[in-house]
Amino acid sequence: MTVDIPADLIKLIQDNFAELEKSKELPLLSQELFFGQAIPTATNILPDAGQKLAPYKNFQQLQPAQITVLRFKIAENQHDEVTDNWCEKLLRYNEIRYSSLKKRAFENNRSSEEVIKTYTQIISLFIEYYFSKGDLRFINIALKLMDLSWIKPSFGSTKFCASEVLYKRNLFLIDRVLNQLENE
Amino acid sequence: MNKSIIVFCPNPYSIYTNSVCELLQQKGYSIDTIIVRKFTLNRFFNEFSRDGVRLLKKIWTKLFLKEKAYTVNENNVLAFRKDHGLTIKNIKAFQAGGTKLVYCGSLNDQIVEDTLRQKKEKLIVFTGGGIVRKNILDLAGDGIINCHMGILPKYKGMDLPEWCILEGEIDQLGITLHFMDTGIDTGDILKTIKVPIGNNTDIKTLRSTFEPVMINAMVETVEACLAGTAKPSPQPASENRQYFIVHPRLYSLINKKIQKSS
Repeated sequence: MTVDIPADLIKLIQDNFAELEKSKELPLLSQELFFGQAIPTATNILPDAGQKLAPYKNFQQLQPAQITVLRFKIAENQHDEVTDNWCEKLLRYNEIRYSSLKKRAFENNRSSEEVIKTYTQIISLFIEYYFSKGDLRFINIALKLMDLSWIKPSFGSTKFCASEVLYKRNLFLIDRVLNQLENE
Repeated sequence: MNKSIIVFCPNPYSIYTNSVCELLQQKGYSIDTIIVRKFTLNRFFNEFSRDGVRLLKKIWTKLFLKEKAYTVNENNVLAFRKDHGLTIKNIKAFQAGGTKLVYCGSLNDQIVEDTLRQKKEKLIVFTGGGIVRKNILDLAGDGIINCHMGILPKYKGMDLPEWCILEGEIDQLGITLHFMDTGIDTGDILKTIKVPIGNNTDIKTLRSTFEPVMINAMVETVEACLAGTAKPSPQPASENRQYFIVHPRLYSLINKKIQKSS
């Protein structure tokens, strides 16, 4: 799917790329999605690039770095049965536990910053997985997660700069997916 | 010994429950017991946490509007009821024919266990009311028949007609009669019936055409089970996939796809 990125989103990414590079947890793994666009990516700064992913255990033990590895594998078309199983399990967890997600997300004294960054990554993963597999269930759960106010990064805050960029990118991509499907 | 027919029911006004029970009665079967869930705050909060605002719409439609929620349509449950002379709108009416009513907070409560233990030979008809757990499944006698709004084994979970449309598999719209087990929509299959998209122009009217098919299919399956002619078969292995409640933003896409196909 070819995606034309609006100029203001490109500018937002370019203006904040230094911050995005610094925030190793939120690189933009989206070269594949933006055909022909001059969008910088950060795949080369991934600390875990190429890391072998162990089988999914449970959501409580999820590490942000694991989401990064998953996103990298999907962006580079390297996903396999382990990746697919991870994505399916993450989908199910968030769907089945949707009503108690907030309580579970803040377990073990996780900070709001950590929760927002993790969930921005998870939403990005789901959207990117949709682009890879065409499975609308992942857009469905991404939509539901983006409805949750406690997941939204505070816009304009330097703490959430990378999350804000990714959040806006995700909003744009979902709109684009739905518009394209409706006009098919 | 005649088997007792026991019906699990989500609320006393369920058009589906009342129609299945009355149609069975018309065919000469007697309903031994209807186990019906009570309206409690606890139930409301549990279902609200699962369904959100959708629950309020469901309550309004099913408990207040009831038949008024339906538009004039020759393929919906109102037309079906009229054609078959079905008039009962509240399960209390079945008491006049000797049916016992048992009220419970959850279908997994002790009172349900105690009721089931009283009947040695039984067949349970599930017309709604929530998840049934192992303690009840273990007491189910011949089994608990459910009518699932999707073709199994692929379409497991919720909002299956919607997902069928989204997946572009209009020809896979349909229902499955199956025995319930501890898994989600994994029990042995009794019958599968496809439902054509017809001239429906949106998901609401399409869904309304499912109901008469479900009522008929449930009654026929109960008859077959009681006659010993039902042939349940284990579900074939399939992708471990589950579908969930559709986000409201996807409904515009669903309705466009229905209009293109009908």
